[in-house]
Amino acid sequence: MEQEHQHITSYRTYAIVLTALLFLTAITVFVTWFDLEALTIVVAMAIACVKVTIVISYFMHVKHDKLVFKLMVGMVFILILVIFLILFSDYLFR
Amino acid sequence: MEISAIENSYLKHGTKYKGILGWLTSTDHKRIGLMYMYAIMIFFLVGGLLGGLMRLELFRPGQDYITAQTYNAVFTVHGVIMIFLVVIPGLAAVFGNILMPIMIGARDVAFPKLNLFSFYIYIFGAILAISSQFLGKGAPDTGWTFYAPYSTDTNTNVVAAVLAAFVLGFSSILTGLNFIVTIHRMRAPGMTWFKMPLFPWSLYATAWIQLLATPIVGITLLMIIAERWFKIGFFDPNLGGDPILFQHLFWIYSHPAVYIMILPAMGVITEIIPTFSQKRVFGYKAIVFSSVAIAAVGYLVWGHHMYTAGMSVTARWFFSLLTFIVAVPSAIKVFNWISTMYKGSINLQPPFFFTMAFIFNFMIGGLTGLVLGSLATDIHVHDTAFVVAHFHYIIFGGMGFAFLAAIHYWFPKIYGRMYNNKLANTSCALIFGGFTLLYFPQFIIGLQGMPRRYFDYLPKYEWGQVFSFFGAIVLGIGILIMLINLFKSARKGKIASSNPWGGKTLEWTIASPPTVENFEEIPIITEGPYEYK
Repeated sequence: MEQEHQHITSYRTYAIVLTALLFLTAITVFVTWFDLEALTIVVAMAIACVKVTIVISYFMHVKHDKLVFKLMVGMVFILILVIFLILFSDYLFR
Repeated sequence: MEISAIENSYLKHGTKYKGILGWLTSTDHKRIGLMYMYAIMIFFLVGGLLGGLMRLELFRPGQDYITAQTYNAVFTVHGVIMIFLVVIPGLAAVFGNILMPIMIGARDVAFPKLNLFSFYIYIFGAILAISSQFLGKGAPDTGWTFYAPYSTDTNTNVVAAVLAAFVLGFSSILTGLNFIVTIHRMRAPGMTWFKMPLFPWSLYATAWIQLLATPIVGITLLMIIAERWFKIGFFDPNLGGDPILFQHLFWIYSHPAVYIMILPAMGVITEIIPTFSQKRVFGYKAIVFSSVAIAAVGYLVWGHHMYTAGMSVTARWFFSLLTFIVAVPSAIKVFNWISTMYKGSINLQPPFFFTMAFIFNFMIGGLTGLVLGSLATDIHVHDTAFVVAHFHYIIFGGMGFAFLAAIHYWFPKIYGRMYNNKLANTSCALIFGGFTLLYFPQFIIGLQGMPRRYFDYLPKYEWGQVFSFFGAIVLGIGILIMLINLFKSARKGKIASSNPWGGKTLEWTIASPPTVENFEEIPIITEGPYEYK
């Protein structure tokens, strides 16, 4: 049977990832102090997307996974993006 | 020799327990599939009786047997049971479970315990759904779509019904996940993606929809509960919410859910036609890619349920365009089926008759879908009986007939016995005739303006309601004859050979019924699944 490559991530990397996530959470809270009007949701979603990407890449090991799994995750991102775009073809043009 | 096939099969051997406990604790994909089937049949009969009650009330104008409020509850419960308990799990959970692992040359699904867990989640959701009808302040009356803001205001027992749909969603997600992993990881050696039969292909496309779309409706349903309990303004304009947002979120799942129902149905039909034409399937890759295209584009057409709801004009024409695009891969499949039959050795057996009925109904359902997908005509027929007819032509005429075709096709494999052909053909004719008599008049009175979900109507629509009532009776008799035939034959039917139809896919190479392990040795695949001479 095919021997699959096992990648071991260091504690240091995990610590950096954790710090980055906490920092981004703080930013999420921080931006709520400002009224960004129509951009509010865009900024919130952008920060959330960065956090999700970090979690999926490191905690869920997709960074070290095969291309096919990266493509699957990428496909989901694209799907959500397209759904958002279509959804806003209603809200932005009402 | 053949009796010993039944004695050695999964029907007689399972876990260390015997009898009913042996079934309830079994992680064998075939037993789990059969348990789904029996549960779904019971729910189908309950949902069907509620449908019959509606037809009885609609037989004459005015109030006859039930009040308007009861009628609202009856069509809601009918919808919730039929959609969430019958047609969404229908083909994937039953025939996907029983046959997909065998068709790809595996001994079981990737996660057998998760598979059993999915079944119990389904049963738990079903109990919640049924109990929602009796608990609290009356059965929910929102329709199966739970449209806000009414669903956030009504005093009826909406929360339990919504929770039931939420729980059932988990079962669907886990089944989808299981199937994706199984198809990726457990195909027999040599079975490349393009040597895989087309029913597993359709399940694969379906599984992705189950996995990605179901969480959206789950969250949406929780938002209803949050609004009801904590007055958080998601949908209610009085609380600062937007009711159209609910419709968006609901249909982002529920339109792809139509493809959860119909894609496996198309897969079943694609298996049956080559077998009964004894001919290689026409355009294998076109069918594969059309399944994937339907799954992909099907995500993006949800707004065609909302043309009259107050969306922007830009969104409306965009959704209409996308709706017409999704018709293309569906039509590709129909052309492929007909081309497969062309110059084939047609063998007129019950599964083939059900398949022909499927194609006929699906064509009517599909083309009337374009009437609804077109912006201008939809304004006229929106929320009329025309929609009811279109919907039932796709769901019952399509998925339902494919389910019946599937049970008649794989019956000898599942039970190792054969049913009475004459009775099967009679029931097929009655079911098809009754179905047509029941739903076709709804197109006409819908075009004339008969609204859906009304328990009373103007006398000019009476003729259509009367035809539909008698259609329902014929349909009921057909279903009863079919059930008697199948249940009797499952116990006492003539012993079937391992390949009674001359099929070429892997399930026809093993004993009928299969053993617990399916294969003595995992086969090595060297050629495509439909290599007829």
